[in-house]
Amino acid sequence: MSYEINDVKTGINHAKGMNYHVHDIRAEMKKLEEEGEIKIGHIIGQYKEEEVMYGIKKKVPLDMHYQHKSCGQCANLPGVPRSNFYYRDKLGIKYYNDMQQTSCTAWNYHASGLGNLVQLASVAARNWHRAYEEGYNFTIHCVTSFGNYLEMRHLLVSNKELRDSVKKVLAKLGRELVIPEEIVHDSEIAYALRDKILAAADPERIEGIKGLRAVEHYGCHFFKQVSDDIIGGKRPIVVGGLASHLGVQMEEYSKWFMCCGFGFRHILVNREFTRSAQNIKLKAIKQEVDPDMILVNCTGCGTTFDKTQWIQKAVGEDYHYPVVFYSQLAALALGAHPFKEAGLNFHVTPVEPLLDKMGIAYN
Amino acid sequence: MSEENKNPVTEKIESTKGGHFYKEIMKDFRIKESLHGCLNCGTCVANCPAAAFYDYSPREVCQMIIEGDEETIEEYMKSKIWNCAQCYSCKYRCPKENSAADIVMAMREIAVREGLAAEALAGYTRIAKLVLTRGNQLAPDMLSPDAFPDWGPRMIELSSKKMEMREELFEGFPGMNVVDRAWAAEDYTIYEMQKIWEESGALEKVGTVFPFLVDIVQDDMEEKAEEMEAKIQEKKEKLEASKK
Repeated sequence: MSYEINDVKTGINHAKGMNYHVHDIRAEMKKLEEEGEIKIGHIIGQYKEEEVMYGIKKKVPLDMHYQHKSCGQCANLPGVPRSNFYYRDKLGIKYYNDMQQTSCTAWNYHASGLGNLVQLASVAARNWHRAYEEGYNFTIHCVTSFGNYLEMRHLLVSNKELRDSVKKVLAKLGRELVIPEEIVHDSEIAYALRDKILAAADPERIEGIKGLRAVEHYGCHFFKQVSDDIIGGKRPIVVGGLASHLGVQMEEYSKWFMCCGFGFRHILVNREFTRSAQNIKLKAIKQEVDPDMILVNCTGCGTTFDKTQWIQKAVGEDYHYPVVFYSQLAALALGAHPFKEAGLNFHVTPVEPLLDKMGIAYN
Repeated sequence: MSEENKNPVTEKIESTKGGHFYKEIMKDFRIKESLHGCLNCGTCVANCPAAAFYDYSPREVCQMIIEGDEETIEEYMKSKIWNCAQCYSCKYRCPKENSAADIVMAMREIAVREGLAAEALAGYTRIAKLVLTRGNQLAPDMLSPDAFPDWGPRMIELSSKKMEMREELFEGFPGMNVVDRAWAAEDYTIYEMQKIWEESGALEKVGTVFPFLVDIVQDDMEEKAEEMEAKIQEKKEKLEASKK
């Protein structure tokens, strides 16, 4: 049951609910900029336009990437940020790995309710300002951060009271409100760079990737929290789009939409929920596809899929699907060492059978 | 809220209902964007992972706010709101563009503020401390096999080798090979983060659940204040000069 990425795009692009109003955030930002209410951090250098909901074009910057990191990835799946750096190094893209950035704190906020909107939006704006003052395009590694920054942009543009409160906080730091022209996730960038990645790829690695069967899972905060700024329309296409471009055979499964069970707080304190949700997802994946790997773009989902397969033995199930991030796949295609440069050895579900199948040495 | 953003559904509700929690919830401006009437169709429930395993329903969340049903609201405030996975599947699929996930978020904020979250946040101390003292939310050190026995035997192996593995992976990437935080954010950056929490009123809110954390953060800030405020002053002057 393979599917063509473009069919997904055209089929769902304009299919949102019955009384939905077209919301063009870019036009609203431009108006506020003209009124002197906000500054916009315009795209620097080359960009590629990709279509989001209602045919609106999203500019994906192709160079000068400020790397807004994911705390979950850096702590738990460090091969992901390393792969993000790797593919940029290979393609000659300039990036900035800043140590004056903070976490977005959205994981904390959604899990605990600690914090408030002024705090959350001010943290976002401080990080945006760091990219602006250093002269880079703001790009995001984490899906939780991505959803949060889309939401913070929306709230800051639509609510003057919040905007004024955030400006006050920023002024106390000697900073100002500069909203990036585009909120871009790293998987959107890798998708926009798919031709370049394929052109620069190691032919032997591409041979190993060709014909691998995979399913994809997108983080809920990638496309459900703010759903009108997602490349491809209502259903995301970037992970499967990049993978199929590199030769992976993407497969459909019935539970693609369902949350992985991460739940922000559940992964910490209610993991019986996480394990149960995973049981439903993994069962569908096994019965309907039995793929070579699960492709992801989200920190929380990658963690959940990777860490929750072993325990399913408790209910008589034996799952063994390597969990691979879009950028780890790109790095492998470009010739990265699977452990020393793509960090796949940090994953708990063994990746060795997949690497054997791809013909990649890992010792 | 600007004129064009007025929502006739929530305005009508606001003017007719009562109850303490209800009134607190309605003060959050997100509610107006999150409720546009409810068909009771149950699409949200069918897509909700929390509803599959808990006594929780996004349809009930929308209905209780529309009805102003203080008894059900109280039941949710005290425990049920913590079942929501914050996945926004309800928002994505609702034909009326309602967002139970956003209503729950507003309610979680109020639950913390009103001292109702102590039980729900038990076990959350380390994350809160890390956010407020290190500038990020997770550290390799927190992922000990003791805390996550269900992650399997490979976690034990990884945990014992993580230092050398990270050293190999991040050779040539300063600030990345740390284990007590996600990356080595600078002291000045952490101070800025703490100041945001203080100035936004969020730190005071933390005190309702973790009072000792407020003391830790304030002591930390006080210790660094002179040096950091001088840096901020420089930044302010630079920003002013750039505007001229």
